[in-house]
Amino acid sequence: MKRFLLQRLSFLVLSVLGAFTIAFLVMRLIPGDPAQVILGDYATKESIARLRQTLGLERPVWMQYVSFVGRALQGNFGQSLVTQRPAFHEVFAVFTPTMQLAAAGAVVSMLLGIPAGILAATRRNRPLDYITMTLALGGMSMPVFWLGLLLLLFFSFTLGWTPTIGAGAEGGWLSTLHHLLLPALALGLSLGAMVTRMTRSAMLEVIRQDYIRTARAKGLRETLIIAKHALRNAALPILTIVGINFGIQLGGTILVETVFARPGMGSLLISSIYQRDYPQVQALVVVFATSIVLVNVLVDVLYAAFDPRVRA
Amino acid sequence: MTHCRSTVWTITLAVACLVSVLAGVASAPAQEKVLRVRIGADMTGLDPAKLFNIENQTISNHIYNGLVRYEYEKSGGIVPDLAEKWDLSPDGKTYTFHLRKGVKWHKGHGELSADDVKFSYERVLDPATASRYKGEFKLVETIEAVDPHTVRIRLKSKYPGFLNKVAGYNQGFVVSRKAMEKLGDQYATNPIGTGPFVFDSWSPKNQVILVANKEYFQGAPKLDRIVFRLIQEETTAEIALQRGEIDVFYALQNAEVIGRLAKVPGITVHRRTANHTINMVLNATYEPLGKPLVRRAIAHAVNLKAMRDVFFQGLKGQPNWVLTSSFEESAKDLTEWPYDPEKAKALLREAGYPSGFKLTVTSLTLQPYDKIAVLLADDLRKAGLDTSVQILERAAYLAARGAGTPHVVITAVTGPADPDQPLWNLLHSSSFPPGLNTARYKGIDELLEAAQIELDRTKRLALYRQIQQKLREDVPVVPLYNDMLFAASRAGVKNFAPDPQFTMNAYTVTLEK
Repeated sequence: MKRFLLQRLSFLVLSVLGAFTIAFLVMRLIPGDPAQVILGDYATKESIARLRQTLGLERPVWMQYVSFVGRALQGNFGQSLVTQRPAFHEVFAVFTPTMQLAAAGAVVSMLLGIPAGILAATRRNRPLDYITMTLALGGMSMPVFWLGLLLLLFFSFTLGWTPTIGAGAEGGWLSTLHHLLLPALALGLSLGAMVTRMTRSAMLEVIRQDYIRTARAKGLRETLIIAKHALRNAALPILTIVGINFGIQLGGTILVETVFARPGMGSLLISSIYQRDYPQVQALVVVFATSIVLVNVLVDVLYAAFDPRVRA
Repeated sequence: MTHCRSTVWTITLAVACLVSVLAGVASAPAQEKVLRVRIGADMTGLDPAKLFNIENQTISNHIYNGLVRYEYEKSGGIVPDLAEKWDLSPDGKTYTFHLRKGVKWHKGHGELSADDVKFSYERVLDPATASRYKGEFKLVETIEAVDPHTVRIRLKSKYPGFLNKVAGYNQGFVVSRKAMEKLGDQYATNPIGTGPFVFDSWSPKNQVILVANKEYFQGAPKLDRIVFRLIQEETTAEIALQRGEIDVFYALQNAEVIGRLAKVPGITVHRRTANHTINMVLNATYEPLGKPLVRRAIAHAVNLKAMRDVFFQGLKGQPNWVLTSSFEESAKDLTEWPYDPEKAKALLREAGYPSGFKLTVTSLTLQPYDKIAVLLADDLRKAGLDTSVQILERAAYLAARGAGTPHVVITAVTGPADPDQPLWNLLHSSSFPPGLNTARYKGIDELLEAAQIELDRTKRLALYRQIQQKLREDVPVVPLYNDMLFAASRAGVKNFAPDPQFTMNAYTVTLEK
């Protein structure tokens, strides 16, 4: 287990460095100069040159890269070019709501997707199966942005059950949960569709196995067979999809955050790219990449918990 | 099965209870008078020397003061602010401002003095500051703090529009020397002003909170706090406004949302003409566009009325040769060239381009600038020009415009109530490079310079009329439309009005909830 974790952690360092390097280079390849963006239309050549000097953009790209990586290893990700505040500090100001949203989305997708998938699998080729699968197809095809607006119109505007905007952090944990309901539902519904399909096919695979037939022959109750024998063995592919989804989910949070006016890393990333705020984009990419890799490490660890063969 | 159904019922009931408990939590009554204002983009920094974007400008309006201010709640004329009164020397070159006494800086930074004013404006001029607005003080020769309450500003030449430069807007805002020296770079996110509201906190991508300055020299505001809530999506803000989660929907743009909100009882939609035009700048260094006949042909080729009436559903105004109807100097009878594709073709033939030429319209990936470029290109194609569209993301757009190479650039220009600023910035030959005059137009330089220093009101009006006539003949730019600032407010919000600078100030606002 120790070796396994070490292996995964070294993989983490490599992935984060890779993601960072790509982001670093791409940001410098696209046209547009941060100094020009900061100074605007009336910036003279001299003032742009002066600012580029102050921001350290005059140096060759490889030198900027080396110095950035060097400082990042000491935990210093530089200052945002726009706000002049530490780039990492800016990320952490919006980290919690994004992670809450992504995690809540994952929970909703599992709460909806796993039972729906089991239901479809156990009633294979019957009306309930078709209905579930059609709904899942609909869920997968529905743009999350549009779904979010529909949810807002119905639950918030028509019924008045949920708040429309924000993360509700200032009102305590109850308020946070309340503000999380709709965004998590919007995110969870579309990903839940994927979980449903995966659960269904994984369950179908398992249900056909001999040991299930044996369990039935022993006279065990059907619910027990499904919950204890079938689901546990179908868990691996479901876990895999939830892990992969997490990356997609972080991407999806950008849209959900916009619809529900929630603070978050997604909107920070987009505005930082627009403003060519290099240090800010770099810090965000590092945090995004680390989170995705960490979740996948967690999924690998859970694999081992579910399947003793992985541990061996 | 019965068991299963009762479980479903229990769960449904539990969820319903939880939701109602949570709803109760969310709508806890507020004791304070808090005005919640929607902003469409996040704050980025509030240093007056670098202030940019209407959101930063709007927040700054509440925190800072200039020497003078625009009385937007009335006629919009210039009235005293930090300066109680001012004198102008007989040669029209020296302004002496007498500062109000006992004006306190926020958060215990002492009292406002003439030295702060000198510091603020010299800071804008200092190349090390890299201010966006250095050019605004191009006529300033010296700034002198005569005594703690007197500032003398000597100009290089007489300039009757000078008060506009020291009015509460961008570079005109006065900062505290003591705080700036202490905070440095961090001033932009911890601003210290003298205004009716004190900066409290900024939670990025979420909200900005200002609290009332009880010691404000014009009297404490009627509100306890202002919360600027970032809501990018207009439909979301529309729902939030109707549900009472925000009180003011600032910078409303979407025509459908405006239409829907206008019909909601208890919601007021405010509309104000802004000093803001969107123009098609024609680059004269691109050979065909160097000919006035070709530029006139382009003006006839584009159906601007259809753009404003159909595409914008009548929510934009006619731009009147860069000076919008919000300027007194606007010559409203000098109408735009009418849409006439046949005339456009005839003019192109006359200019020696019977089979047209290649043309690229460059614009920004920002609503609605990306869409209007397509509309324009379509019209130009109908007139026989081989037109393509280049939509660039903001930083790339700035780079392209800065290089001055695009044939046609969609350029917005705005400014305070002084006509000198938008016209000079867009069309004086000194405004490129750097600047907006990618037309490389030189035709009104002398007129602009004369109007800038003309003290006589009637003569000045006549000069600006001449300028607009010349623009109509030469067509260095085709003004497309004049922006309107829309905002919506809830029934309890009184005395709210957006201003023509595309910003707002809630100092006069009262809340009756």
